[in-house]
Amino acid sequence: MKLRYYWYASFSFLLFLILDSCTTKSSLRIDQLSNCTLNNDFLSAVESIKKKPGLYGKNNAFLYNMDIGSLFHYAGYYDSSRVYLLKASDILDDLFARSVTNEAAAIMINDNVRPYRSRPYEIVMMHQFIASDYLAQGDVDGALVETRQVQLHFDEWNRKNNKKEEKYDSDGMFHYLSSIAYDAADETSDAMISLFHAVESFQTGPVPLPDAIRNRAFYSFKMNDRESDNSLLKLTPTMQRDGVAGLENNSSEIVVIGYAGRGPMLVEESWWGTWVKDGLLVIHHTNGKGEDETMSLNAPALPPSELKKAEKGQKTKSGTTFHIKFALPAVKTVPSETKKFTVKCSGDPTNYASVIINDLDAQAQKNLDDTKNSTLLRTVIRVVLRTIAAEKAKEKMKTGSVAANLLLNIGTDILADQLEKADTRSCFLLPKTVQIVRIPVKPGTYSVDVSANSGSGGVLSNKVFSDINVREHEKKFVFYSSFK
Amino acid sequence: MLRIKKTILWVIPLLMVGCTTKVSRVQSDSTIDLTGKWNDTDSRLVAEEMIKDCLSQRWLYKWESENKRPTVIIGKVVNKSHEHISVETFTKDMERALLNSGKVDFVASKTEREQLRDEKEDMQDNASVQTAKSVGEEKGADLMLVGTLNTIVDQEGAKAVVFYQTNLELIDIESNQKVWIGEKKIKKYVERAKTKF
Repeated sequence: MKLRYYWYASFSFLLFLILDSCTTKSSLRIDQLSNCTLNNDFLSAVESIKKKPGLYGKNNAFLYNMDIGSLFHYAGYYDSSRVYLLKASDILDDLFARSVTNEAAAIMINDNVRPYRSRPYEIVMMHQFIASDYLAQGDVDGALVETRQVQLHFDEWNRKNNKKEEKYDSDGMFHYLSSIAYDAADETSDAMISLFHAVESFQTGPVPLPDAIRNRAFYSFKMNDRESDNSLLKLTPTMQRDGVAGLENNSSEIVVIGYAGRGPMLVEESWWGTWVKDGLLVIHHTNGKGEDETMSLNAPALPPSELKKAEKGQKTKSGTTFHIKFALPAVKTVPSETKKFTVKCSGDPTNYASVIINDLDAQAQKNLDDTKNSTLLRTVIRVVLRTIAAEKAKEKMKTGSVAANLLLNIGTDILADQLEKADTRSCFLLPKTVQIVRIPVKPGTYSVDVSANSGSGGVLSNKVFSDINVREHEKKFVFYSSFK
Repeated sequence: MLRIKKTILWVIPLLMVGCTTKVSRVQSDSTIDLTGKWNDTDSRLVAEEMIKDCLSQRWLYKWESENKRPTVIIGKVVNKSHEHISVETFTKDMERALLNSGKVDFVASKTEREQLRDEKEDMQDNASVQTAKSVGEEKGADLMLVGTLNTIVDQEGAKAVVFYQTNLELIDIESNQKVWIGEKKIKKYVERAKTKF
């Protein structure tokens, strides 16, 4: 008997340590990389990751490559960024086949034991970063390969969603940037099709359609003999045609893309309840902000049959516990000082203001909403199976002593508690918003002055990109990040 | 107990063999498909078809009848597919085959020419007069090889039909006349495993 308890205690302790370290890794990643990114010191963040690859582990190989690739992209190291992001893309391909053993383990333990497969909006951001790496280096064809790959994803998600409009299967930002890339390749029809999808996605998705895109789309469709698109999309402009600059197809321009603030992270929201038979009923809730709420009540008394057993000196349920815990992921947004970007181009007095084309806080929330039912179903199955197993184990270990019962039961409950973890893995190094400024220019050499601004318009950081040589029908892409 | 120990002693080395990386040399023209993506076999099939077709068509007769060899330059082969494909693998095969046939000459491509011009410029200052190569004596190409690589993908879940179409064209630089169009189509059915152990 003693041996059984000894093994039980050792096994529980070991499992507790293993599982505890899994969650600590995830929070450590956030702790270690947050400061570097908030200071726009992306290369130091890369160095930190490379020094400690163990922070990610085998199951998070996608995140490891995605994080490094994104950081290199923000730092302007486009070749290096592409190497890691293409590796992340290959890892996702390899993860298409699901491991039966991993899935079974996930049902019994939690989703963190499965390899991280990423969320649809993260896949789109990954391809967007790869496309942007190509665009930054003037390789429009390379960027368009990414556009076609994402279109295959959209088609597949659309098929899986049974064409339900409310689920994420299209992305306004991606289609809009694709339309610019198609225009740069002088493929007007494809540019217009992408622009159509961009407007459609903005109208149905979590990111509102910016007026600048609404007006550009309206007059571009009109100019290219596609007025039926305006009717289909019910588009009406908010300004006259003369107010929309650079409408000509395949025109020269400088496109500035800004990444403002740090994107959201996922945190755990948990509920647990313990019924100490013949003792207490405790109900506890921890919300996404880490705030706790506990309620204790007197538990109902034991039934008469149990009292009879106690009188006879037999084993009773007194001191045994019934414990249940649910944990689900929740979005935690990170406050950001950077609200917008302003751009000045040499030889042009205009102070161009950016428009938001993607909001990752909204995308993350939408993703959790889209997957709520499946996540809940998996959690319920897992919790029910685990609770049954825990109750069986407690039954086997039941003794005549109330104190011993309580001790063993609490041990089992702690173990079950540790097993229940929400899958809070995510690409937390994505920006909060993606913003764009389009500056139509004549062929020539320019310098652009990009400023990151706070809500009140104050300049938080600034960079001048000089010697931007734009040829006829060419588009030059400039990327700037301010995670403050 | 002894039996268990013996079994463990047998099983551990077997597991270790399974964990080591195995590499074996295979014929360069053997077909090995791992992911269903564009690979060396597809590139080779395109090159073989294009070379065969290019050397057997009548565009060459015009030059042969005049006892001349046309000079060709490799232009841009635009990748309009959904995969990042290095088109150089088949354009280089083609260049080599056509050059070795003795029927065609090639001149350096745009990027190669830039390097060569830099080198010649450097020679003017640093090489001896006898060995420095002169500027402005380059041979102009008669024909340019351009092309496109397109794909059509039809997929549902783990199944996909991928259709690759490669088109190469030889264009007379002076007259803009297309003298040869080659085409190679490859269709693949890819079925990916949904589960594994």
